[in-house]
Amino acid sequence: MRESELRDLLERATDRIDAGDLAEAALAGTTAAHRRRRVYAAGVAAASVLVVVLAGLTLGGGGDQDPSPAPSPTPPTSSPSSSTDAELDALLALPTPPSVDPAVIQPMWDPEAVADLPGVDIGLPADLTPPDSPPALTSIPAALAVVDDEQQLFVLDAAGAWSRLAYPEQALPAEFASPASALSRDGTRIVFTGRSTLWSRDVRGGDWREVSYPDGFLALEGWQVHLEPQVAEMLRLGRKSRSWAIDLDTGTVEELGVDLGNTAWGGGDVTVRIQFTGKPYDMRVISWGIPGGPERSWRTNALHSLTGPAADQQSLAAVRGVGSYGEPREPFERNGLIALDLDDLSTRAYLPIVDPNYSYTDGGAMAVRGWLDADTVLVEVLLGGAETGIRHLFVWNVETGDLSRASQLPADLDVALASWIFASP
Amino acid sequence: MDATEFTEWVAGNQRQLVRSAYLLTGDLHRAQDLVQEALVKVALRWTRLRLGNPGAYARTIIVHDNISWWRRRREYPVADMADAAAVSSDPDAAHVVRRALARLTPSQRAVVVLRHFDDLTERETASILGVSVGTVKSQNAAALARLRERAPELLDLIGRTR
Repeated sequence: MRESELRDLLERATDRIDAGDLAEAALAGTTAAHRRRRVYAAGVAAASVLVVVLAGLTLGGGGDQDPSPAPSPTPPTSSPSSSTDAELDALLALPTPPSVDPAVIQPMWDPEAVADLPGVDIGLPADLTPPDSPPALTSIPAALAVVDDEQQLFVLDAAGAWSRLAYPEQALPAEFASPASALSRDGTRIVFTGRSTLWSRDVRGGDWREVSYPDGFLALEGWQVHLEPQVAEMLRLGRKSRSWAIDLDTGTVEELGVDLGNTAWGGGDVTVRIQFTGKPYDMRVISWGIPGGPERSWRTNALHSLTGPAADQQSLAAVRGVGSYGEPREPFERNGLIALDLDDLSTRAYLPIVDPNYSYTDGGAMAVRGWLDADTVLVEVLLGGAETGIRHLFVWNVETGDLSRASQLPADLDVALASWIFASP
Repeated sequence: MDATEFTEWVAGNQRQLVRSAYLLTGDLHRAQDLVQEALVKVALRWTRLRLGNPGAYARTIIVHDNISWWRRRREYPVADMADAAAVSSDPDAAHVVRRALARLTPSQRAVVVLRHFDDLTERETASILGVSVGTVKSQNAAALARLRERAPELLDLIGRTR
């Protein structure tokens, strides 16, 4: 096709779109942003006073302090249109994380240099590209990784052997959606999203089994899936703001009401939610808890945007993007990888990165894959674009700042990892 | 900031930005949201951007926010003829374009829109996407090949315009 013809067609396909007056709304948005900053600053001051008062009460209360985490005010989750002053008060009453200790800020690193890092063996081959014709999967104790090329699945076992797992013939994905596959973090169960049902397979044997989608789930529109490590049969599946937990054995469905993209599940059922209230307050909140237990929340605007999170029972790691585009900044005001202590949300470590185009943060080209032990995380970074580039997996020791290269694969392949059975470096 | 100057710049660029965002997303409401958010960021930095290239900055925000959104959601809006009529005087063409672009990856789609609708150079496109010029060339070739292979109805329409 000639390029001018394509341009003419794109012009014709959008010729009725009219933008209205966006300048006025944008200027109003900047006014609101400035006002929010003033309200936020006032709120920080008020919260500081509150902390001092509470600290005095605690000290005066003698030695009867409850060592268990105290529930904090519940942040509002309602839509912006129903926001009230009470909601703002609830947000401003939330505690804020402690100031960042400059000693935990590590030297800045350029992810473009990931291939130059020293190699480390965590049980994965240095290259995760599957071979051309591996044998069909029969039974293995557990899978370390599942690579999906949208035609079939390639399964890597702990001995480093590859096998092939074909999609069931009737399970081809819907026309406008990529199939999403997931591997339980203990490596025993695979699921993927088919045209009209979920499909589940135990790598230790058996056949693919179908599990119905929840009512209200629109299979044509795409999805995310997560398999839980501690309950290998539990699948969390989301569409826009809706998400469900599905017991793959019984088909039992529970609607969760969380945004999967901003939620991390750690060990022992720990759930960490990263929320952004949106307009009118633009507050960021991090909450963690366990089912049936108290939930603790912090107001975390000072941490800016956290994406690609992963949690264990003590810590949260995420990719951090700050809001001042393109300006010279101090190390903590640059984008980077952050590790937080869930006990008080203090910053355990911060690794500033070179991210001139915000591709690692806003572009989603970097995400934490999981914790390998209490001090080390596995991180994925995409270099060279989503089609022809390479996904690199590297290890960050948050205590020492050591970085090492674990594995890589072509960017057009998706990989699910059984992160809980990786060796610590 | 100079609100008059900003308003004039928006008036001259907003329609193209929304149309471009629509081709990136296939959803007019999300396109308007993306552009609105980007314009707020442009306005906040207008003093610094006004002497540079605010359009490139706005497109960078729009493209990155959209790819980030897609990576979190992995969703494609379902095509709808009523939507097509709202965006084009030729709903059939709009419907075909929307379906064809949905067959591309987000990065390929961004390259096609920036190169063939916004008329940006390969270097400008590379700068906005944060990739090399070589990657833009290969993405563009892969996208056009995929359109030829998987969206023959697009070729039919192009033939009809001659």
